[in-house]
Amino acid sequence: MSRRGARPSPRRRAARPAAAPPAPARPETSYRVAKLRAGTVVDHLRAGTALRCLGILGIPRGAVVTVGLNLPSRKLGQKDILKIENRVLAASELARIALLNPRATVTVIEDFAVVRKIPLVLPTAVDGVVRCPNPACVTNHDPVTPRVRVESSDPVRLRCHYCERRIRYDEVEFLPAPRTPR
Amino acid sequence: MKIPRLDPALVSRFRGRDVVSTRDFTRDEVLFVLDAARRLDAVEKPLLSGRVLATLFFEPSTRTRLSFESAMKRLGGSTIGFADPEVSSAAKGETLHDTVRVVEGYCDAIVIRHPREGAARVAAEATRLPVLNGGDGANQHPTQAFVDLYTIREAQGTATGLNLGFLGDLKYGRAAHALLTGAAMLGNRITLISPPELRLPAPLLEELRDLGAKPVQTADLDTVLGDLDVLYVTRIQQERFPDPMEYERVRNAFRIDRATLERGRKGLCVLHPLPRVREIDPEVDAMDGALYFRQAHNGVTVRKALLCLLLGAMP
Repeated sequence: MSRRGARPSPRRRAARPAAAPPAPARPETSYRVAKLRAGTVVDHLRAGTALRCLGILGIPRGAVVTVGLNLPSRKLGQKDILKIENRVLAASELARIALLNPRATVTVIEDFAVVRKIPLVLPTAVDGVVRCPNPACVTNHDPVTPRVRVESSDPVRLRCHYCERRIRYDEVEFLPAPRTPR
Repeated sequence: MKIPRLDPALVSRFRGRDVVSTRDFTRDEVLFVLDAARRLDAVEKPLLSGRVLATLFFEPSTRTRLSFESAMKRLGGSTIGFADPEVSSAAKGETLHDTVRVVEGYCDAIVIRHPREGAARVAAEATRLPVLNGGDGANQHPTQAFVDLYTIREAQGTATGLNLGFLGDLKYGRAAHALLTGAAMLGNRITLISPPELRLPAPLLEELRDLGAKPVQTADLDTVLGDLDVLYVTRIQQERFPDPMEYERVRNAFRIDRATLERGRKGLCVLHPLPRVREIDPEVDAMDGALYFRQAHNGVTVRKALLCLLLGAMP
């Protein structure tokens, strides 16, 4: 099914009389992931990060989510995509996505149409989302909510607010997301 | 050096402030603290009469704790606290946050030393009182950095534009970590001399580069000794080694003696945050450039200034 409702599928186009010039080839991304009636589309995720992204979001059990992995993308070469039905992501969830994928795009869908594009903006500090990888950090011993300061958003550069250690991208470990009610 | 006048705007900026990390200060603020210390060097007035400083030492300390106590008492104030966590409620499982919330009712400022990195920040966020970090694990020791820079400026006439060599345990040494940030901020050249196992952690190295320093790393002191203005020697931090075998491999990596210093440039200063174990031969103590005891004594001067600034009592 097409992601853009009005666009005919290539198969139909091929079946028409030969008068019209062939449409320029488009990546097949649009046709591989189910169209969303209402909810949120998180697009342009770096290939291979969609499942991790899904894991760090507080998606309630039973929620319908469509996941596309390694889809062709003009912008990224390959990309992942998430479509979350009947749900608009909270600011804390957007921050989680931005930490992993600062260039991802988030759109809110209603009645099959894009009603809002949400820019991903990382706050200057993020609380309770990333575990400090430093075993000697006080946040790994005392009941203190971990906080990371965002020193740069693209590329993402983080520093533990408490032990002041810089956190490399490959060291980012997300704390379990609080489960939100359906 | 003549006694500097202090900018009133900076004086008011320090009132009630925490001293948790050298990263919290600008270049101007670092130099301002050195000026304030110079101004208070000879002052022994009761500027802090009636004020109480709490010293919460969850880790052993001699110089830091005693110099804070001396600074407070020389300014007419008093101190309370503990030097052994086993005698505090921490031994009963009290959280650091709760300890600080309790103690804030007994004092006007708090000094804390703690083995956990980030503990001083937790303490600072738990109270409205000024908190001074007396060392948090391998992270920071900002008041020591101010003491070191003050000693360097006293000896060299400046704390900027010098070539500072850091020798020894650059992996775990928090005094070196705190000083490195401050020294790079002031535009000094940085030379790092350590065995490969004890090199400065990569994120810190990257941070020095971000501050505009171009740190040189080597394991061979002799190749860089002739270019140094200051040699900052650190103890190998045995207590922070997870593997005792690793400590055994590096414990005798460096030893500074008279012959070493004679190969250095004229005017070379040797600093050490102390305690030393075997890094500096006692025969060096009598040499002109051996400043580590002077540096320990300056701890009182600099901490007097910090206490006066934070408690709004700067003359």
